[in-house]
Amino acid sequence: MDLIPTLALMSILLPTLGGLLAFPMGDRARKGVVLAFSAAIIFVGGALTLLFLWDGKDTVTIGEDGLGSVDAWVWGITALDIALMAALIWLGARSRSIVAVVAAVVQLVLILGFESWKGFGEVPVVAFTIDRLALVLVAVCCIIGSLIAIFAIQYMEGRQKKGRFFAFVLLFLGAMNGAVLSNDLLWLFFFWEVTTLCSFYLIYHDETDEAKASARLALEITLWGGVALAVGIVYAGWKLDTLELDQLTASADLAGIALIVPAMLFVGGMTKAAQVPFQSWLLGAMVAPTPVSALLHSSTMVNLGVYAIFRMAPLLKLYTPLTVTVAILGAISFAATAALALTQSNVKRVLAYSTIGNLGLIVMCVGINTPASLVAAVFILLFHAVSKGMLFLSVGVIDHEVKTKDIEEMGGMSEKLPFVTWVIVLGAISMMIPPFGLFAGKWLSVEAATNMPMLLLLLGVGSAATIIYYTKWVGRLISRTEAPPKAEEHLSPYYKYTLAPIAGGIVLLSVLTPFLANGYAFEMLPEGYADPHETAASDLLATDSYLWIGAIFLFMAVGMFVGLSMIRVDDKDRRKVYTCGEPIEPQVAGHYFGGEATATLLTDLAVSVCAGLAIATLLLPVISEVV
Amino acid sequence: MDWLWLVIATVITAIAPFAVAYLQGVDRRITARMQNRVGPPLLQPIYDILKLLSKTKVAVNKGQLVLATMYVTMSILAFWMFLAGADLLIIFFILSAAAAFYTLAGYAVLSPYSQLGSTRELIQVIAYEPVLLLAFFGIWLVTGTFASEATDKMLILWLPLTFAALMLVLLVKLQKSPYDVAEAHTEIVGGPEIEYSGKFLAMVKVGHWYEAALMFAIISLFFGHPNIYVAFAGKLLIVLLAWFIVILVDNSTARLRFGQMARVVLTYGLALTVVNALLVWAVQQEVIPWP
Repeated sequence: MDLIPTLALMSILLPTLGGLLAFPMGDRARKGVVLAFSAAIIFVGGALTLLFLWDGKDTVTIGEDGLGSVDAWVWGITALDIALMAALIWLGARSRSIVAVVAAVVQLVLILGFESWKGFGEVPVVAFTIDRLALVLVAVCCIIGSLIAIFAIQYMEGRQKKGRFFAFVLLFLGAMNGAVLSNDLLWLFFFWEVTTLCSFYLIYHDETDEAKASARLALEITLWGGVALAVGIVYAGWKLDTLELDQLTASADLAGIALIVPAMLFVGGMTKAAQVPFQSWLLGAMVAPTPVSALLHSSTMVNLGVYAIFRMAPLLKLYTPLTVTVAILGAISFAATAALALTQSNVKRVLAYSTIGNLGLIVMCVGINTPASLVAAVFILLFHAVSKGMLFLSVGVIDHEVKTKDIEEMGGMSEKLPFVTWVIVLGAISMMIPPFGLFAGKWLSVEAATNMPMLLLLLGVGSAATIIYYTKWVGRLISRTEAPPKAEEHLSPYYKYTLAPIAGGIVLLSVLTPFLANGYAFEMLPEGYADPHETAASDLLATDSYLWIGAIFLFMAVGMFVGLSMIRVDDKDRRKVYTCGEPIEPQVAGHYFGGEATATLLTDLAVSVCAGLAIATLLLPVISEVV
Repeated sequence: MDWLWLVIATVITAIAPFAVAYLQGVDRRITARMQNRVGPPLLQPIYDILKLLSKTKVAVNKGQLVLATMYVTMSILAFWMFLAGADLLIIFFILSAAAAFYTLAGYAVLSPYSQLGSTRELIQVIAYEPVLLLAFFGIWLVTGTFASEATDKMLILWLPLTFAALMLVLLVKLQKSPYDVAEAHTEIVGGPEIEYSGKFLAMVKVGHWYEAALMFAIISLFFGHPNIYVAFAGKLLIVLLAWFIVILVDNSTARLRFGQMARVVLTYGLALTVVNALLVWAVQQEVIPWP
């Protein structure tokens, strides 16, 4: 039996099964089930990655023969799809949201109408595809996602409705893997809407008024994104006569009204990836328990959005109006949210803005649509997912232990929770400082942006602002007085042993950056793209780039060594800080650039510009048909 | 990569702080003359460092010192990589890493002055970084590469406005009036530097010198010539010119508030670099005829 397809199918079925089992169980048994299934999912994800790399193939497909009974799959998914639509309509009605109900009904009508026109139960030639891009997403989802689930076992201790919570967390992972691996667009759509359902319930979890309102907002926005997706898919099946992603992208060179397929998927992807002007649902989603934020922001929901956008890139030529529009929208999302993050003191909001910004960077890179920029997109996706997952979990620990989410109340955290603080320091550094992974992505994206120089302005402002808000936060965490009272840190093993592996993973992946760039990432590009070595002058894509990255690591290690081991500060060396001779304990506060007033203004500005761009994205196919 | 050149780069990196120290000695002398004083010996900055090294060790906490070490390391690395011919973009990112570590070191002590100064330092980052990035883009536009290896193009003729914008960045990076808002000795008594003393202060100062050396190295890119001797003389000249402009501005202006600083550097700096890039593009596309 071929292992790779089996593992791929297990990455979908195992979490689903785990979710179903976790739902009805008692507390103790559920702990065991979640732990066992999470471990198994991590194993599946890891094994799949290693086997795929070992195998060396570009793509592995699962067709009729790999699925066991293919009819069961086809009919199962069709039936579940209809049930899911009905559930979404019911959810919309229960949330008293006409907007959501209409969206779900439109989806149901579109999909049912299309299926009955085409005939139900058509068997796809290739049902699932594993290629290098999908593998990155599946690996992130399986490994980071499962670690988040394990983390949540401790975090959710003492909360209500844990059965529903873990059922949806695990189901989410399965649906995410399913969506990423699906080659049949209708299946992709099904899994896509399952993630909408899961995210609704996870945001809804605490059942406060705020949670209910946020869940409703998320449902409305993502359901309308789903409508866009459905329109694109139905058009592809109706006029382009294919529902399979590989055939669709191979057909290439779309023109005129047919551009509606990528345009609709772009907009659908942007709603999931919470790009401006659709960012509000992700910010609202912060009312959910922190592991949910970690899940939405790093391993599942938002990645699915950029994945859909990425998949459509080969359908477009360089510098078409559509790609340029998308690139500008992404760059504005990046710069605007980076500036918005400066005005926030709630750390979850800062991180949420940072997520939107980084995904904006990915969207921008896909919009630039050169080989090097696509490599940059995957780099940012991978490293952002790992770092952001870790940062959210760490914030969760602080919230759990010290009961605060406010940066201003986190002074001296390095004394109260040293382990968590250093994890956050590493996470923040990996988001902004070379040689850690995200820097490589940013480097490539700046280089790619030379193709559209106006983006450089936005990039420059955005990346400077990124440094400021992370530095400000970390600065507050580590600020302390002269005599640190050493506190004992009793961290639950659930926290320690989920954070530590991710931290190790960040360092390991960063060391591997040049090899990932040269060995993995550029072979991942869709067909029809040139070798980025030939089109990009970047040192990172040069064969000796590991020398540069290595040099930075070496210098950093020397600096750390000198700093940590050669500098000694004994008690007799210590002095109080200078306060002009006043016997005061200094009180400090951060600078928030005008706070909420600035934030409102900036949000309005960015939303209005980006809404225009999003509408332009939708109209461009029509315009290019007419012109 | 040429190993011999790496050795040369390492040697130059080792002697660079002395060169910058000497330049600062000259600075103090010229400043003194401008103010009708005699001024200290030319090697005074070196004497200062030597004296600092002999002082008693005093510190607030170790965290600050570790982060300061990282700052100095990053400054040295940025300069070394520039000489070794790395991508200007990687240098850009390492430079901002240095700024981040320096600021974090300032935040690591709970001193009102240090915290205030660090926040101002960060506001400087948002002021000069976009300008620097666009300046690098201007260089890319003319030379077609981000590699810092010197080209023989006469960039100053292509990018005079970008050069002017870099002067603004230089003033900020060298902590010179009117942009010395982060250190601001008369106001927040040295800002992020306040809690260093003795050899740690010396270390941070050397870090500043490396940053200055890198800025001058970037300035030196603006003079290129096929003849290596002419190129060398021209590079030296343009660095000295930039240095003189900085001293002149430093002595003839008063410090701005940090908000004003950010506004001036961002608006004028970005406007200059963008206009210059547009002009270069227009010449390259032969929209504007050029001999």
